[in-house]
Amino acid sequence: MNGEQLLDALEQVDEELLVEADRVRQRRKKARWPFIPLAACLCLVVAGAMIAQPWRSVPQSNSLPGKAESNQAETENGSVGVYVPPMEVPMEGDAQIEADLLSFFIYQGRLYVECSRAQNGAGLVGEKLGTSNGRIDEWTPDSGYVEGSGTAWGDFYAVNGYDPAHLLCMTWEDGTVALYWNNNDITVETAGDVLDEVFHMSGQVVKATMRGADVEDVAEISRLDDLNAWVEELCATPAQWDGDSPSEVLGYLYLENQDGVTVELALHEGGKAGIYGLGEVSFQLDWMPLTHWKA
Amino acid sequence: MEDKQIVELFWQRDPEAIAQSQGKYHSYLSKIAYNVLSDEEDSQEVVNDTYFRAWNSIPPQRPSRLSVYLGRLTRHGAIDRYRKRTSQKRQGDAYTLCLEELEACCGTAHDPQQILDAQQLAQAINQFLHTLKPQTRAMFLGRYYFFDSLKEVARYCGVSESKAKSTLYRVRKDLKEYLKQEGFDL
Repeated sequence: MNGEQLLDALEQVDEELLVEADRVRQRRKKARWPFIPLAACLCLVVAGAMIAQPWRSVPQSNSLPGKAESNQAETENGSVGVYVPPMEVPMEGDAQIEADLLSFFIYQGRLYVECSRAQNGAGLVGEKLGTSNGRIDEWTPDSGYVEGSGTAWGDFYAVNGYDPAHLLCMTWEDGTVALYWNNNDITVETAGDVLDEVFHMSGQVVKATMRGADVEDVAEISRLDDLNAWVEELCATPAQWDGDSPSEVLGYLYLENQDGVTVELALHEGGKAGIYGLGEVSFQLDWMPLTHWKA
Repeated sequence: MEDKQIVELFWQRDPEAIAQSQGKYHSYLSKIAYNVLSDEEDSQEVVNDTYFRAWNSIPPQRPSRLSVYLGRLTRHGAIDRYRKRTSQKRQGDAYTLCLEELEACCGTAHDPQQILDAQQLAQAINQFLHTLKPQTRAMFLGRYYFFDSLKEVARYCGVSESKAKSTLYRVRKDLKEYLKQEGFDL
């Protein structure tokens, strides 16, 4: 059998199924993720130490009935995803806090956090969209979190070929392109919502490196066809919230596509994978086969 | 004018049947043809050919849903024209993409020894489609019957493009398993 025989056989699909499909095709849908104006209640996640900021709670209207405290959210089409709230941490300690602030800026009401860097990413830099004033630090009050502010200083740009609602970039003097991802106040249904829709990884990984818990235990993945099939499988895997029972990270996988965009995956015990920047969201998919595809 | 009335015009050999069909379904049929051919001129020729074929087949046919009947004729004509157009096939056009996606599901065998019962295959596919949820089925038919782009399928199903892509991937896998279980050689 071949694909053309399948396409031909579809010509005889039952009439009522075609009528039903056609009805769906005539629909007009609203945008999936409504634009939410940014209120002055965002938080920072810092490496090494924590600083308190007020946070925005999960909108009750999006929560499933009886699950007001969970991160499950119902999307517009009725399916269930995991809501990733604005990152928040409790106050810990007082003075002498050495804060290593994440690099981020605010644009059109969305908070974009640095997620990766491309060494030869000149081709990624698109239209200039704005400038971040770099004025936010650990002492900035709520009122300072406004449009055009951020910890990062400088012009930011669209990323050629990528949706600016998800991904923007900044450039450094040495030519490095830093990618900034709007990774919070979003709902994730499957890994594909991130790996494919944001980072264009599905079927497009050209380089992959695996690292164990030991930083020196690094190996490149040689079987890219198998890897791409695994990534595609991952893209179809539903998101789950691990906040209540976090699992140990046993290794890391770094994916790079043909544009030079990279994504870091955390490989957890129990056959789960997480995406760097998504917090406690994981995807249940056995990653052990990856260990056999190393060069 | 209702489909029933237009069909009656065909039966009465009244040329107004063509005008009415055109008025009601021309853009609908043009989209089906364009999705396959990506060429305005070719698409219009196929659609005009559809009215000619309808004129020659009604009667004896008496379709209850004219949109479906004309849509089938257009789809068939567009695919035929695409296959004959060997010099102008483009990588990345809708037909090629859909074909590649389905071939991942069933293979690319062109064994001249193998006689495939098209009726049996059509029946199996129909049975499989009836096992799907309506939205999933609309995604599958939108993509592989109507050749809508992934972006369009995602839009009218109210999901993200990646969700549409992953759903179609799962459906193709399930279809492959179903056809294997039904005894088809993949």
